[in-house]
Amino acid sequence: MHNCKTSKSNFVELACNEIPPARSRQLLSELNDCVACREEYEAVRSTVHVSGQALRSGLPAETFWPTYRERLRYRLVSSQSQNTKNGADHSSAYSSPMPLSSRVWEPLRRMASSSVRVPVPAALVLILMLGAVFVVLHSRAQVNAAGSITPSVSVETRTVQVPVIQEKVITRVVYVDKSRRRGAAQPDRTAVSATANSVARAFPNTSQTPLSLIDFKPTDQVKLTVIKGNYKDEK
Amino acid sequence: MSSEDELIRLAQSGDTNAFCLLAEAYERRIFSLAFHYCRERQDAEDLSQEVWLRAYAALPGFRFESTFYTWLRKITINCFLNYRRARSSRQSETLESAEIAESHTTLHNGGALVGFESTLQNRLVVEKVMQALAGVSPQQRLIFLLKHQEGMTYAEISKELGCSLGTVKKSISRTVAKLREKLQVVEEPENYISSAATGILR
Repeated sequence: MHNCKTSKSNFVELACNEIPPARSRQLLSELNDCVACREEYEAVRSTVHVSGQALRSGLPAETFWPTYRERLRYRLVSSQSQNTKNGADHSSAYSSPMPLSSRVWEPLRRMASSSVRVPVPAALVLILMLGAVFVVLHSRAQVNAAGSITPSVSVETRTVQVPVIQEKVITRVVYVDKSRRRGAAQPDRTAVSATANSVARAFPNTSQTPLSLIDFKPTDQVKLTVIKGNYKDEK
Repeated sequence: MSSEDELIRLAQSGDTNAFCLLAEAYERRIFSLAFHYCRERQDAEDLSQEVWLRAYAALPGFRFESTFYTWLRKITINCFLNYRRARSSRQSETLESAEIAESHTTLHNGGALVGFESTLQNRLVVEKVMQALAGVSPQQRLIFLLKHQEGMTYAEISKELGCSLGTVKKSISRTVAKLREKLQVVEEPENYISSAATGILR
């Protein structure tokens, strides 16, 4: 069943030979029965045909081409020589040793002046990420700065005198009066004998009478007395 | 091995003369395509020569897996797309009718035109077609050129340009509608060229 709207939607493709042969034959047979569609199709086909012819015709005259070829040949040769020169420069750069400064400086200069092609979405994402990192770091630094505000610490040095209890070592030399030891002075015989007995018990091997410090008072003033002579002289 | 293959091999080894002979075989097609795409003679010359320079640089990579022209057409399309990007960043795509007429006159002044365009009425038709094509987007124009000048199928065009089949169909339909509006072609197909020109002259 013929449908004008459906058929018209296929006219451009039909005129451009883009419809399968079977469908094409069907459409063309339908056109015989519909005058409006046939006229429409002829108009489309004519347009396509005229345009195609016009496009294929627009060429310059023969006199144009020698100049065109000369120009092309010149450009080809110059590009070829440029490539050869670049290649020669490249090979000479490897054959002759470059100074150290050039060898270091040249790659750095190339790196600094080179550019990297990055897709726009990737670049935007990168910029946003860097921005976010910057904002986070900045805010964190501000928080740290706020938290670290404390009253200033001043160190006061004060000298305090502390009483130090110093132990005083007192060394006393006690001299025993010979005459008193031999019994001249016997203030408390019983006490002395008791003490002597206990000492004798403590030191059973001692043949001599042990010395006693009873009744001796330590003196504040120590008076040193040099005694001449030795033990033998004493006997 | 055909003479073209031999020329290709010589050109691959760096023979500029062999490459120039190859270029002579296809220069008209490439130039015509470039001219209808960019609509200015000087631009067309630069663009077509750019195609040849790129082809010469890429020729060592040609592996004879397709015909030389198919390979060359890929380079041409890429050059056109790059040209469009560069031009769209430079200026607006829309040209005034006077500018188009002027650019076309420049082409005519380059020497006497041959074939179809030699008569006045056909010349007028060509100008109308150029004006109509100037009114569509560069992609629509390129699709139309690839279809009606290069004879590529919808599927081939969609593959080459990386767009869907629907985009190609829609693009061709819009361009045909635009051309139809400009040319006012309503007569019998046998007489369309003359009648189109008569319609324009009316």
